[in-house]
Amino acid sequence: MFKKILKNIEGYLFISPWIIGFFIFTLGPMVASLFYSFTKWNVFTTPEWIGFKNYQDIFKDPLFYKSLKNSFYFTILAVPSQIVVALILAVLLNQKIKGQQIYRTIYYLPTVVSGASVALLWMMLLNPTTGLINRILSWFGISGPAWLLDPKWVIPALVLMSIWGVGGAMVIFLAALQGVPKELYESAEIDGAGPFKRFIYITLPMISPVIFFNFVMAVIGSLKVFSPAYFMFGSQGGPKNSALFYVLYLYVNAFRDFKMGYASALAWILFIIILAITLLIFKSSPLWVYYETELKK
Amino acid sequence: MWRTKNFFLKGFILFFLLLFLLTQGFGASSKVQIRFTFWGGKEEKAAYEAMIKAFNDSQNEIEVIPVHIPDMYEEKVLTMIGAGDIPDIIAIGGAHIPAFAARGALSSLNNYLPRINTAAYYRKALDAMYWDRKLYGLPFRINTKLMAYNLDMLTEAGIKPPSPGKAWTPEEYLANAKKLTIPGKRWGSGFPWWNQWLYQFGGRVLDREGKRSMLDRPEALESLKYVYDLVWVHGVAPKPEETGGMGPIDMFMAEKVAMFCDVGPYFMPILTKITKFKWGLALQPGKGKYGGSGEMEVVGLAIPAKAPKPEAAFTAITFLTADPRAQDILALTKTQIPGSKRSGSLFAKQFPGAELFIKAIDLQEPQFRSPDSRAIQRVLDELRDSVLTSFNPKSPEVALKEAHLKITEILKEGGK
Repeated sequence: MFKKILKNIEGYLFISPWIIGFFIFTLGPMVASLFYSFTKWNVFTTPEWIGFKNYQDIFKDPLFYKSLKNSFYFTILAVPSQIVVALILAVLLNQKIKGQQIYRTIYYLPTVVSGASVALLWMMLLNPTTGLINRILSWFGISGPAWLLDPKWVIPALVLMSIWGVGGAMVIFLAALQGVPKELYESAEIDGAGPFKRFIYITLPMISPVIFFNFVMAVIGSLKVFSPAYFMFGSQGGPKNSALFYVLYLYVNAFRDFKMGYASALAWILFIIILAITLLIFKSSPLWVYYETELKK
Repeated sequence: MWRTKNFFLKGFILFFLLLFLLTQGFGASSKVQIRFTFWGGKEEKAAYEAMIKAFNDSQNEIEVIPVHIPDMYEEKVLTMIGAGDIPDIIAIGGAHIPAFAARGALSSLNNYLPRINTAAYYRKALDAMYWDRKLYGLPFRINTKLMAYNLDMLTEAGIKPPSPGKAWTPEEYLANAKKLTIPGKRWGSGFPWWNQWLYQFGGRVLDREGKRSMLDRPEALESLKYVYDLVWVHGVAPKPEETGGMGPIDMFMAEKVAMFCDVGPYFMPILTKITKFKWGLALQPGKGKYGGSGEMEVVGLAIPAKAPKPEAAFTAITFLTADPRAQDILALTKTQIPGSKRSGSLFAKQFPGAELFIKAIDLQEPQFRSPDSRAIQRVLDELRDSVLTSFNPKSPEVALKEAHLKITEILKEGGK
């Protein structure tokens, strides 16, 4: 065993920075957070063991349910919108037209803009009186809502903002579209299939693994949404807590209310929720995800 | 093969050894080094670093190292303390002292009282550094609040500006705001900040000991109704959706509002650049003897509990908060009121109206203080959002009652 390790020592040394980083920055904090979730800890004094009390208190906390509801509502609106828009953009950018590379760059650029800048920009765009969005709506005789000032429209506004940043998913879809064998389209064309049928019966099944990947990532990302709400509303959570997302509530408990133990318990509950949803999605995947390497029995 | 492995092995070991040695801090100073964390923009950073340099140059034993944290200051200080990387001096808002002190995060300065010249500080600012009869910090700087007005608009409307040192009543403010409002063009008043108007009506959030909610008093309801009516009944101040995302100072500069309250000294660099109209400063309006009243912010310097070098830290904070060599630097920024009286007198001479900021120290109250100040502030934010809104506003009576009950519950549970 020792000889085997010595033989592979070079390899271990090469991967050691990642392994050390994983233990120090990921696994270590996770274990610590699990421990703290069973304690009452305000950072300044030593943690006091209280067993499952944090978890019991969480399930009696109305803001826990409010924040969970907000996060789920955001996810239900944002995920399909992001997937559909990213796919449509990828299909359009897959067409051979002049300036194709420039368009691809333009549509990807929003992804690299920092969260604070995006929030400031969208606060201006969504301004009810002077914002561009309501101005454009007024051209069509539509009186735009008060967006970030109206509790009913806060989450739709944030969903709109999230769609603007679908460049990452779009690029992944683009790569998948380019991997679909052209022969399939040619034979479908010969059989008389139009563009729509080719999209439904060839493109979608062939890129379904990538849709699956983007779907899982979008669900996880949406349930963990924090930055837009924080940069726009601070720790207040928006009008009538309409933007109090789960992770924002966790942050408020940890850093504003000095309840690190409670916040750690919130984190683990979120972990379990996301894990359960992800497993559900994985379980459902055989019904709608097609892998070319699958062998039908 | 072995030679190749040996080469890589030696390379890795050498690399990590070098990395280790580089982190050991060769050439460390012989002075006692202490770290001072503070927040602030570019100008504040420059001023505080100049004050720190003045202290470092004044003696040979202690060197203060500035640690500027431009954003998420409290979160980062909390993380530093939680990680055991405890700074020696922290700048802290007076409103947050109870929250930190009640959780054992700050060192009491009571043992140092015989060495503190308490007469050097403004009494109210020093009081804001106490919690539970223990002193936890020394006043570093103060922000009092005034009213700014567009003198040209007042003259045009035939309104005499308030005489220096005498505040308007809320009725006068409303009457003048009505005269100054031109529908579709400008409002007489900026959006009113209820946290200030509460004090301007003689109310407060908590009693002086921070043990009881005062939102059930008539002043709380009167002030909230007044603020609501300014916007939604009289139309003399813009609704939130009408501000176009601009704050009161921006609307004032754009000549969209004729006057606004809650003007701190930090607005001076912006106001002094205005050339297209004449403007002035006055005490905030207030009811009866509460003319000029409001909520002021006091920032202190405190020593965290378990700070590595408390004695050196105390020497430094005494200098930074009371010695004119440091505090005068603050006064000369024209944007921050020093916590010490001597330098406060220097600040009062810096620009027209500066003396009113100093006068307001005696008329205004430090921000409400409680170990649960953050949870209480959240309740106040919800109260404000639920009443001062165009979207299904709650009645002030109902909202105040709910807020009073919530705050009472928070205070009952205690700050642990």
